[in-house]
Amino acid sequence: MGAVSISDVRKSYGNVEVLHGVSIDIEDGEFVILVGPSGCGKSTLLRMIAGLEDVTSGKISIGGRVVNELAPKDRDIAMVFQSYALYPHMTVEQNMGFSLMLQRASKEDVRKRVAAAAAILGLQPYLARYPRHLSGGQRQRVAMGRAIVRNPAAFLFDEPLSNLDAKLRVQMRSEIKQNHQRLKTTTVYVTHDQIEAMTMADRIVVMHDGVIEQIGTPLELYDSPANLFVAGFIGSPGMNMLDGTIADGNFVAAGGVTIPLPTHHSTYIGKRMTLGIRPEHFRLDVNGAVAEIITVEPTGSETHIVARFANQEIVGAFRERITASPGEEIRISPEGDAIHLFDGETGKRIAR
Amino acid sequence: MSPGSRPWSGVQRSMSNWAKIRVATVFLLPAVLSVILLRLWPALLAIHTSLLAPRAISYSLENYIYIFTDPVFLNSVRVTLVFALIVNPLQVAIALGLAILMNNKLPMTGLWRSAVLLPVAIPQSVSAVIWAAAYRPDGLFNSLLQAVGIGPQRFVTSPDQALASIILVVSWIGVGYWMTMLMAGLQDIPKSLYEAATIDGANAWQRFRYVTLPQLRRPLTFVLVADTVANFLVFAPVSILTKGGPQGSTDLIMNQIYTNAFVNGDPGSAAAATVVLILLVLAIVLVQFRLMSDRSER
Repeated sequence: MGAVSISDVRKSYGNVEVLHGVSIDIEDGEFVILVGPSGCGKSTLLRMIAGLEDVTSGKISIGGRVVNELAPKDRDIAMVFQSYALYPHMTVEQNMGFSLMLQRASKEDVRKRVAAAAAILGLQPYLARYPRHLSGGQRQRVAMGRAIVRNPAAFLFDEPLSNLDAKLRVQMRSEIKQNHQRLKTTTVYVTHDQIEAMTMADRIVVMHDGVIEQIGTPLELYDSPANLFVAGFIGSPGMNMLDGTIADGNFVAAGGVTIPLPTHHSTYIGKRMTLGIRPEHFRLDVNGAVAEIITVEPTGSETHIVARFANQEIVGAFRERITASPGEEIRISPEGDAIHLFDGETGKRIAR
Repeated sequence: MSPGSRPWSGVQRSMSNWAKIRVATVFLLPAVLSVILLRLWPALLAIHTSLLAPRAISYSLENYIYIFTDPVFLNSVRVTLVFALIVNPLQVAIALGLAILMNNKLPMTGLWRSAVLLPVAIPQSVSAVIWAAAYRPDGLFNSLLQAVGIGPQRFVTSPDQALASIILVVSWIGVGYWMTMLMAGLQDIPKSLYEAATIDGANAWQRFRYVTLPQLRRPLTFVLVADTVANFLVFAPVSILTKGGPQGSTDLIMNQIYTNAFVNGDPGSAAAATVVLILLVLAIVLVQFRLMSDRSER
C-alpha cells in the first residue's frame, strides 16, 4: 500500500521558512506531479518525503505509517535523481541490484529481479555496461530500473527529464507514464515544466513561494484555475490577462474595449478585475474588437498571432491558416463561455 | 570548424609545418632543457659513475656486485622496504581520515586544516631539529609520558624505537599535503551519489566503501604513488636525528647513498645504490598503478 499523506508540513532553514504548511493526500497508485517555478519548494518537499531533509513541523506518512523520524531506507521509497546519480564504477546490473545487495538478498534473487526490471525497461543488452557507455535516455532508464527493482511503496522523481534533449524528453515522458500504468506504483514527480505535468499526471499540485496554489487534475487546472498564478502557469502559450472593470454586464478593458460577459456579476461592478482568456479561445469575428498584428507564427496545425489588443500584447491561437503581415489589423473576440474572471485585488477566481 | 571562423585559423594555415615545429620548440625549450640538465644528465651521470669501479677506466658491474655483497647496503634495502611498507599505508590512511574529517563541517575547520597543513611549509631540516629536541631523554615527549605515569623512553637512541620515531616525524611533515589532495577529490564527489546510496539503504561504512573509495580512486592513486616516491627519498630527518643508527636500524637507502658518497668517498657504489633505488621505486610504483586501475575505465 503506497498512499502518501502530507499534512501541514513546514520547512525552515534557520529563521527562513521555505514551506508554509503544505497538505496533500496522495492515493495508492496515483501519479501526482508537483509543479512550480524554481524556488517554490517542490524539490524540498520531495526530499522531505524521501527523508533527505528533516521535517520542521507537520506529518508525512507513507502507506499509513508516519515516517518523519524514519531513515530514508526504512521509508519504502525509491528515488530517481535529476543527475541520475548512477554509481559510475558499477555496471548497469550492479547499479540496479545495489539496494538488494545491501539487503543481503541472494545472488540468484538479485539477478532475477534485476532481469525483470531490465525487461520492463528494455535494458537487457546493457546490463554489463558502465553508465558512461550509455546515452542520456539509457541512463535515465537505469535510474528508473534501480527504483523498480526495489518494488517500493512509492517512486519519487526529482526533475528526471531535465537533462535530456527535447525529443528524448517527449519519448521518456510517455515511457514513464506507460511504466506507471503497468506497475501502478504511487508516484510523486517534481518538475518545473507544466507540459510534463499536464501530460503525465493524474493530479497536479501547483506550488508557488512555499504554498500550494491549487491541486487538481490537469484539465481542472486548465479549465478552472483557482487564481491568476495557476492561470498563468498552466498552458502554453500562456493565458492572456486583461485588466479592467465590470459595467453593464460587460468587461471594460483598457482602451475602451468591451467584452460581453456570460453571467451578470453585479457584486463586482466598478471593482478592479482581471479577465483571462486562453489563446485558443479567441476567434476571428468581423464584429469583434480590433487587434493590430505584431507577429504571425505558423506552427502548421495552428497559427499563433501576437497582436496588440486593448492596449496590451496578447497571443491568439487560430485553427485557420492566417496570412497577414505585421501592422495589419484583424478583428477578434473571445468565446464568451471560455472567459475566466479574477478578482483584481486577491487574484482569486470568480465563478463564471 | 569552418575556415576563418577564428582569427587564428588564417595564421595557422599560412604557417608551414616547419614553422609550427619551430614555434613549439621555442615554447618547449625551457622545460626540455630543465629536464635534460636537471634530470636526465644527472641520471646518466649516475649510471656512468655506477659502472666505473674505483680507479677503473672501463665499464663493469663491479660496484653492483660489491653493494649486493655488502651487508650494510643489504641492511639499508631491508630497512627501506620495512619503512615503506609501514609509512605509506599509514600516511595515506591518516591523510584520508583527516580529509574526511575536515570535509565534514567541523567547527573551526579552517583552523584545523591550517594546523595539519603547517608542517608542509616548514623546511624538513627545521622540523627534524625541533623533533630532535622533543625526543631528547629530558625532552617534551618524556615529560608528557611521565605525566601519565610512563617511564622515559629512548626514542631515536633505541634500535627498537628509532625507525618508528622517524616514521612519526616523516608522517607529521607529510600527511597535511596528501590530505589536501584527497580533500579536493572528496569535494568532487557528487552529493546525489551519497543520497542515492542512502536511499538504497547504505549505512555510513557502506557509503564510504561503495561511493567514497571508488570515487576517490584517481586522487588516491596519485597520493599513494607520489607519497611512495617521496618516502623512498627521505633523507633530512634521518641524517639529523639518527644518521642511520642506532645499529643501522634507520639506515634508509638515501642515507646509505649519502654515507657512501660523501663519508666513505666511494661515489661508484653510491651511484650503483642510486640506480638500484630508482629501479626499486619504479617497480613498486608500477605495481601500485596496476592495483589501482579500474575495469570500468577500459
